[in-house]
Amino acid sequence: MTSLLNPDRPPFFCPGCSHEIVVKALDKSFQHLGLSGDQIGIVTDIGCSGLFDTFFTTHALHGLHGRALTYGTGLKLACPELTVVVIMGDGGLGIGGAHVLSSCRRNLDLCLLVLNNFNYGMTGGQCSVTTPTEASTSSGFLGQLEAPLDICAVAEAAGASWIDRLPATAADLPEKICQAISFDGFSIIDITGICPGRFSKRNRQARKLITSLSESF
Amino acid sequence: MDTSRLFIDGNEAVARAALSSGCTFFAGYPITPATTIYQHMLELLPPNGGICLQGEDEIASIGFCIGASMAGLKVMTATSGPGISLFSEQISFAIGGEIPLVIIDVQRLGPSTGSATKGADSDIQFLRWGNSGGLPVIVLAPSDSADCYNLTCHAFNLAERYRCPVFLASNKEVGMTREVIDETALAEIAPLHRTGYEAKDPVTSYQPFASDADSLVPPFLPLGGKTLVRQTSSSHGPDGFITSEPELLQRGISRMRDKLLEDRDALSLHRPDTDPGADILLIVYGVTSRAAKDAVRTLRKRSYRISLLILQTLYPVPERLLRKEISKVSRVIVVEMNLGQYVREIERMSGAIEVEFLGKMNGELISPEEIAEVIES
Repeated sequence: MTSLLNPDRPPFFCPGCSHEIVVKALDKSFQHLGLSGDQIGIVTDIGCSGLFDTFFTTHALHGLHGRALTYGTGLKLACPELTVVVIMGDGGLGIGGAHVLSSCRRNLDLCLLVLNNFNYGMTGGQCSVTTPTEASTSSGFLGQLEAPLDICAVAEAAGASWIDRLPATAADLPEKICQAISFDGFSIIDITGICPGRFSKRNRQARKLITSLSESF
Repeated sequence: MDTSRLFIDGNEAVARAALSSGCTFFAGYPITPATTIYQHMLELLPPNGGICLQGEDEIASIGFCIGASMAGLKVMTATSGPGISLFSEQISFAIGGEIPLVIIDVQRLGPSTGSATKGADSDIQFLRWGNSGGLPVIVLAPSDSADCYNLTCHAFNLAERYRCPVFLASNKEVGMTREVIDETALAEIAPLHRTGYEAKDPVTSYQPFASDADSLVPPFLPLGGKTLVRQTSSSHGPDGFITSEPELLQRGISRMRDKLLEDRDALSLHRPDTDPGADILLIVYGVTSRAAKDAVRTLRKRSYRISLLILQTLYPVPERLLRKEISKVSRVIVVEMNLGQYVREIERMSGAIEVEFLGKMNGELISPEEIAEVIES
């Protein structure tokens, strides 16, 4: 199959950003699954991960912060034959938490990719719901006051039937995304990654953190 | 039983109208006094092949509707003031993304959670201005069950025709008062469907926000078909890609304003009860118009020369109609169940005439006697 990447709009992330790896992995997954652009709806959130829909020649719905799953739900119900992939960052995960819980419980055939880079990259590196307590962010001491959220544990408690976590750099990322998309029900992958523009600048231990999180899963 | 007569409240009338308008998707969240719309939709839609669901909150409910509308379904949601507050960001999206949507606001007494079981016209300016960007919207106001039916049918057609959210500003008193209506009072309004689009090149040819010479409303193509469709809440050009180009931005935003305001006369639904020799004009909407009719009857018996103008379309403001009617009289009185919201629009149109106002916000209806008293004072 041919690539579904939009030749007119190549990814333009900071050098070294994990998001770019995920863009390519997602494109490979679509190719493996033999999907054409008109069979896919990419629903994106706000932030750097919210740019994803512009890089692909698929149906695209880019909406408000934290609400991507709400559009994905309506779209999937109205259009069950469409493969719906919802993409959000750890920011969207936090602000849209109720929708994540309900999507786990509702178990519609949606695939949610959480591009988790432990901070709000686009707005300048503030702490998010997944920021480790020991990390340094532009939120200062506020980032140390609240315990980080383990989205996989939360998704499990909410009844999600397909949960995965792996670093963006994992060689089997395309394969894992394929499996999640193919699963007939709600699937969620916590894709941990480097935010070189903001997070890893202040947190040299970022890579170690990502590895340890994946190993502990 | 006479089958041409129905005993229904405004909320049930809304649900029946939605079904007959071709609505196949409803999502809501329980809230008094709008809940029974959701309950009726749950009874009506699934047996007819439609979809009805309850969101985890109002934000989700309207988000589901946005997703389903983008896939080409006719959608509706219903709430009350506190839910409109939560809808707000999604309403802005529906305006900016030109997504057809019917939103029923069964208003209750605000502010905030206010009084769940008390009526008021609390949200009139909120509906108009509750979007970031301040773009115009369509707001229709029903006064009884038959009106709820007819205006809901209009709302669906207007949402399709103009690719925008359309509000029905109902009220607890209208939504939850069961009354006998004659089926002949229900207008035969043929359902409109979104202007389709035939693509030549499936991948690149469709411009989701490009209007042609004939219309300011871009042709709609459902997301999910052979031709790729883009939707975005971000500032975009005709191609649906984010842009910061000033000329493109201004053109798109002006077009979204003009598509409604240029048609404001055609959009105006109203019920005049004119006395050609009147020197007094009473302007009302919603449930208050029923008291106003009663008051006008009484006052005419007392030899007052008075005209009554019942507005069914509140927004866009029917400016030409208001100016014309106001120019015929020396006194203008506006009555509404709030502290004075729509009266601001009348004041803009009244020129040198000082507009008199009667408003109340204590959870009770404004009585015909109170209206007559103001006019006789």
